[in-house]
Amino acid sequence: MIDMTLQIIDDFNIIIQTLYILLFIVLIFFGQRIQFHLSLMEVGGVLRHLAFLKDTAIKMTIDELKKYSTDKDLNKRFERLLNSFMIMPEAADPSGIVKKIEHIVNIREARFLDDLKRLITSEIEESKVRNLSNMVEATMALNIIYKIIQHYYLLAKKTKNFFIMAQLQMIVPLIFNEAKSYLQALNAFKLGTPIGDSIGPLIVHKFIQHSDTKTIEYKKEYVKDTDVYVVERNGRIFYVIKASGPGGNVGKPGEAIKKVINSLKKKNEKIAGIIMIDAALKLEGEKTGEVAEGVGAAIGGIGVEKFKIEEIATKNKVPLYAIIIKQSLMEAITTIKKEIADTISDAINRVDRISNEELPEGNIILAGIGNTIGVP
Amino acid sequence: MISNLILQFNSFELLILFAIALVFFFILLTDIKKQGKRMMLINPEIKVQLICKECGFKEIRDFREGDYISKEPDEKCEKCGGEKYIDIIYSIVKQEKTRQS
Ligand SMILES: [Zn+2]
Repeated sequence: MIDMTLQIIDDFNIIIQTLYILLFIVLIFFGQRIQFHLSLMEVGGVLRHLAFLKDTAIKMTIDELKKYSTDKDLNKRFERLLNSFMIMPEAADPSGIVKKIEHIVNIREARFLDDLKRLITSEIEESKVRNLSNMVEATMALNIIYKIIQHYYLLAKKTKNFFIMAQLQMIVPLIFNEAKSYLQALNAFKLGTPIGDSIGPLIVHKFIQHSDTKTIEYKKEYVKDTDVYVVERNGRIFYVIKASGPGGNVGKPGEAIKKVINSLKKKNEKIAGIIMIDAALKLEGEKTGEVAEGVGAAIGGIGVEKFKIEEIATKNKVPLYAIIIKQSLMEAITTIKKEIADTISDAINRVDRISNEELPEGNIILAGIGNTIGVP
Repeated sequence: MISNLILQFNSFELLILFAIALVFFFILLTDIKKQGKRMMLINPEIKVQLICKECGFKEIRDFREGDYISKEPDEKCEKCGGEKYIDIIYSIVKQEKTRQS
């Protein structure tokens, strides 16, 4: 009896050992292939989630458009809008490229808005059209993200390329977070609430509305989509620039600053400096709603407006001051968080301090940079 | 006696193996759960703070479509009946204690 048990245990041990060795051999020769299939499964899962996010976004946008449109070809027209693209100018000869980029971007914006307006059949406010266009743009971003990830996924699968798949696997969690942000952004655009990026326009709006500030002049649509307020505060004149709200819109602050400086120069008036307020991406670990000061043109986007501001400031030797409010990408494109909104008075105090202590005599230009959705 | 010892030892070893396998299984399970949570979308609560122009009384209510900063909705102050304006709009995200999105 005992002998037999011992025999069985011996056999069992031999089997286990053989399995161990076999496992090593399999892992040595097929390890990478197994890894590849595991990656394929993981990336495939994320891709399905991305498709879900994209489809949800498309459905949300079409549902919202349907509220204002009786167009029978709505789906078709929307699809055309969704798949529209913009080709950047050739950069091999970079002189004067910003002008070309600006031209292309302007055409794209105008055409995009016109297409959208043609789609809408009922009478609605301009601000609502802007919010709808923001919705379509967020959907476009999601669509592009999905298409690109799908492209690399299928490419890696087709060529059985482990290294494309490994890179994809490393990057998809980050991409997925970004995609999630865009879907959440859609909700904010639909409702028309201010977003984290609206903090710049929001601060300058509160600056104008402040009890110590006296509005002297209000120039609506000073340049396209951008308003200028001439105000007096603590005995100093401010030219306050912000995009026209409350629709979702970033305006043309660069163009506005250029025009203000040129008109002031014509009148032989002094320009003390430019203060720009903008949302900035925080690093992981940094606190949301941290306010920081620095110098330079605090403005994101494609670079046209930044170029203009830097050019006109350099030409006229006007100092450029920047105040930034830190937040993550998710926070920047979704409804403004309390921590971010709470920075308003701090930022206004900083503007006061800079204008009272640092800037010489003359007019001050204050620009609130960002999407002015929900802020008139 | 000796064989019993071997038998015991073997089952003990197996038990450890099982325990290790179980631990790995649970790690995998929580990982999948975490991933599921990461995939979830949280709809934030959007609040509006209104201030009375007359007496400065503050009131917080839920966001309604069409609200924007400095808008004067058709709502009267509860204290003095004065007109109100929207001071600020913000969202509150119920966040978990440790994990960041
Ligand atoms: Zn009151």
